[in-house]
Amino acid sequence: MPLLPTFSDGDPVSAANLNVLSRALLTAKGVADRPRTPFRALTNDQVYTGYIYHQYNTLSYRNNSAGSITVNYGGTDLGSMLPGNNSYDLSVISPALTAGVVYQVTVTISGGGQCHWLAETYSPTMQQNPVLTEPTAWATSTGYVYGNIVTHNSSYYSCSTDHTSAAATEPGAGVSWATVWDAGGLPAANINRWADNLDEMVSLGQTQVGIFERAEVDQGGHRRNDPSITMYTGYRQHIANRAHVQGYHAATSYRTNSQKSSFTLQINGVDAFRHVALSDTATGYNNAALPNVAITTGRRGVGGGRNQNYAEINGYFDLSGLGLTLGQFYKWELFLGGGGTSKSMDVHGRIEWLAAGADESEAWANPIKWERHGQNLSAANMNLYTTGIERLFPGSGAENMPLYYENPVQFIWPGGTLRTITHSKKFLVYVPDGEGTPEVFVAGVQPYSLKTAAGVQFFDLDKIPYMNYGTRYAVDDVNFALEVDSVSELGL
Amino acid sequence: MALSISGTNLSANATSRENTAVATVRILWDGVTPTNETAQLINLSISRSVSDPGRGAATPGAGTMSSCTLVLDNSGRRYSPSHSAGPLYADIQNTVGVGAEVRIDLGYNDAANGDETLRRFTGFINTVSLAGPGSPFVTYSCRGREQRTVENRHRTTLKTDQFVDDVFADLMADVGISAGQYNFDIGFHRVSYVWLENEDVFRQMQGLAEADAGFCYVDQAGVVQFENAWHWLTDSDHNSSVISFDLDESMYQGVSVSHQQQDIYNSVLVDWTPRRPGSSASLFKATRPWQVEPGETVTFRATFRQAAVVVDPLIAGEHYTVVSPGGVDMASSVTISTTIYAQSIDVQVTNNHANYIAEFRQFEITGVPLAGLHAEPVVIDASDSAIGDPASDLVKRLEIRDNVFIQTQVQAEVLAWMTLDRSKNPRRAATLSGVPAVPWLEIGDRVTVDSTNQAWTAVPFFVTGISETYQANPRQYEQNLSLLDAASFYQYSLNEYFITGTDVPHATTSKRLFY
Repeated sequence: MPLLPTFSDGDPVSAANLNVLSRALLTAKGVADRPRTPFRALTNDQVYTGYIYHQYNTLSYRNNSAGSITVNYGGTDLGSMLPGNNSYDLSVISPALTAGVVYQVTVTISGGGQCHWLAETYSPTMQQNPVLTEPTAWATSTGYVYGNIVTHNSSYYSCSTDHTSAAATEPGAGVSWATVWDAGGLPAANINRWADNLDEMVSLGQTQVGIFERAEVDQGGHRRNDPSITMYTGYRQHIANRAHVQGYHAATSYRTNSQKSSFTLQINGVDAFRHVALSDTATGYNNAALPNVAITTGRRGVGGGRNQNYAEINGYFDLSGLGLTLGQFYKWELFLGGGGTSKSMDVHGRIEWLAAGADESEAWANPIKWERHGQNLSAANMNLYTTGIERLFPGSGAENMPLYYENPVQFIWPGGTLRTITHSKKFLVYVPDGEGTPEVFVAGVQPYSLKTAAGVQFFDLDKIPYMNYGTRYAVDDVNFALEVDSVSELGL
Repeated sequence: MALSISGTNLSANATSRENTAVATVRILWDGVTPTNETAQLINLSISRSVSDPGRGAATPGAGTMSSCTLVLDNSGRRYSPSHSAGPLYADIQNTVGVGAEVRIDLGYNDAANGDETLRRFTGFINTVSLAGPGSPFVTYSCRGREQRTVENRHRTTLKTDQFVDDVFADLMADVGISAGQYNFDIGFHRVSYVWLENEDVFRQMQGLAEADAGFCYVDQAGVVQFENAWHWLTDSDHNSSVISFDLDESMYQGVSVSHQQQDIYNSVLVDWTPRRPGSSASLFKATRPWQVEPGETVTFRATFRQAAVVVDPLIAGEHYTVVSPGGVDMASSVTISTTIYAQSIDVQVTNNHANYIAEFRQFEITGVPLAGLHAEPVVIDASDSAIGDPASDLVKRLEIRDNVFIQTQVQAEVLAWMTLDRSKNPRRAATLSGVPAVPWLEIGDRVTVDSTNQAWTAVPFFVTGISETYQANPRQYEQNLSLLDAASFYQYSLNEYFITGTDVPHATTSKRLFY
């Protein structure tokens, strides 16, 4: 359901409606910033069982091997995965699947198969964003892009298709001028391009994403410059050139303060983010290349005569130098390292949030507040929509840029891993793992126990008095957990 | 939008001192066939307006119901419902004529073309008054077609994030008004949630129109109109004069002018009430057991206190228990189907058992209600008002409250700014009484008036009210017009606003944004 206004030729442009676009742009930025868990690859010869909250009829996958991988979705065998990136069509399943219902998915791997990605996806096509210009005289042999406005023979023309001008495309005169120009001033359709694209980007925020599976390692005992520990390995589609990180790492030791821990995030095998905590506070880190990552370091006693050097990290960093391609799947690996002279060092690390996002310092990211009435409409201000959209989803300036809605299958992982969620929907859907009582954890308050019955359960989060929207909380002893808007969506 | 007079000589005849007024009255007594009743016509009066007299300004959304009073000669007892020999007896013996559709066309006779008339009223007889015996005549009080929508109390499903014109189109379909009988501009805002629960359609449409800073009314042809916030700016009948009245001309000598200033405000408050889905809750609990006889199908209606975003499917044992009066479980003997509306549900129950009454106990509907949050005010003050700056002088505030369709801050801000701009300074208003009738004139049309006495030279007005009378003997057709200053209705003229498809952006010299 579109949420944004539409504009029509012959009507005045409303400041209020442009302000709605401005807010939508900022909302889309928030959507891009959301936590999105890299898909943890299935690489062993075994049967994996997972769950998915059904939304889309395309089940995309990446099969990275020649081994055998078969999928059963809600009791229906979908057959073997083809090599590389491909997909199953879920619409052929009979009886038809119901959107909003949680289905069980099993993946059977043999012969060394490797499934790097398994998610339902939907890819609406974004349209090319216009680039407005204040009108200049048309000239031949000039490159014009969609949205440019020219004057010619006392009339306005708006470029509808990128081209280099020639006699044949002379506005109003050339034999094929109408294929690349719209006669008249700024067409409403061009403003609607922004509205349509922003609509899709905002709608993306209405779809569920897999909760972030908190990556946590507490590695004790006698470490000394040992190899890094792999905390997390997963795959995800690349959709934006900014990544958020939030978490901490620490090293604990006896009788020395030189122990240090480190975080390294590699994407596609290349360091995307690295932080090393040295023994001293405040000055002991090198974040010169990470101007937007706030890092707090310190030392604290943790009992038993031990000291802990720690670093808390919260911010975002740029991925544009990695040469990633939009829509492609890349491996995300998080390593926890430890170094120093101690022979009995413990390292502890936790990442709570990894997300693609946007730079908050750019001009478009500040509210574009149009005056209520009578303001001049400038090309520069209008073009902030193009800038913003293309910053959030690089490449969206091109025609037919897909915008990926994704809904990964969530698989069972051993060990009662905490699953972290930012509260945004009314109900929690979960599947107890049978090992203990599922509990909701919010910092600073007693855990709230959930029902333990087998199968898909749901819980009205409004019943937890201290649970406010935006609160980050964790759930344990569940195989699957997801927030949804309504119980009816589940078809229970 | 003035009525088309293309191909007629109405323009010349209307402004001629020698004109001859003509009327045609048709009534669909049987609901199908128009019967010409003009021969019995004594006089008639028609009234319609779009202004709210209580506020003294053309206020978005406001519009009074059009009406007509029709006086017909009943000396032959043609319209007497008890006169069994009367030609209309079969159709009016039970109804007295109430509900019959009335169509009135008025105009002038043309020497070349004959009678040239335009539709001035389409509506229905609302009340009937029979007089006699000394002066036997019948008076029919009629209401415009909007009466039908007012009387049509309706319920809908929940409509979300729709433009008002889309909501209107849905409502028209709901009440059986076909596409040719309405004409809607594109809406300004999307409205988060709209629903009707046993409410009259037209009143709700007016509320929606106000929330969208537009107008909703039914025109003389019975066509339901929605004109958006900029309609009177961009439409040619509103931005160029339909007719000029030169009150100094002899034919207007009988016209009287009432000239006053409208109420002035230096502050406007508009309440908006956000809505959002609430917590899962009980929407309805039956206060008594529902019983269904063996073999019967019964429909129960459950009305919720609030609209619901989600109504949970009915599950035996969770939402009800169904047993025989003796306590035998009858869950397998009944079938249940539901029709869900925004604020109610029809539960159709069939008892398939041959002998037992099915008794539904503790019947409950659950779901997610739509919560109306506290109203939040948008208050806009005008420091440049003619009655002073509210920051330092008297605060005279116009308040727009209780419109449930103003659900976003954007809606409230646009309405507040627009209303304030139209209210902060004196605005000329006038009533022209006894004007030789202009049968193509419609609400909202722009006219200009010249008057030496008033020192007016081509002063532009919008027509906000038309009251017209026709008398059959002697033939006389006049109008009283309520006029509102058009010059400052919008802050800028059409050619100063940025129009898509026409204008181009420029940092300092481009056209201006609308509200």
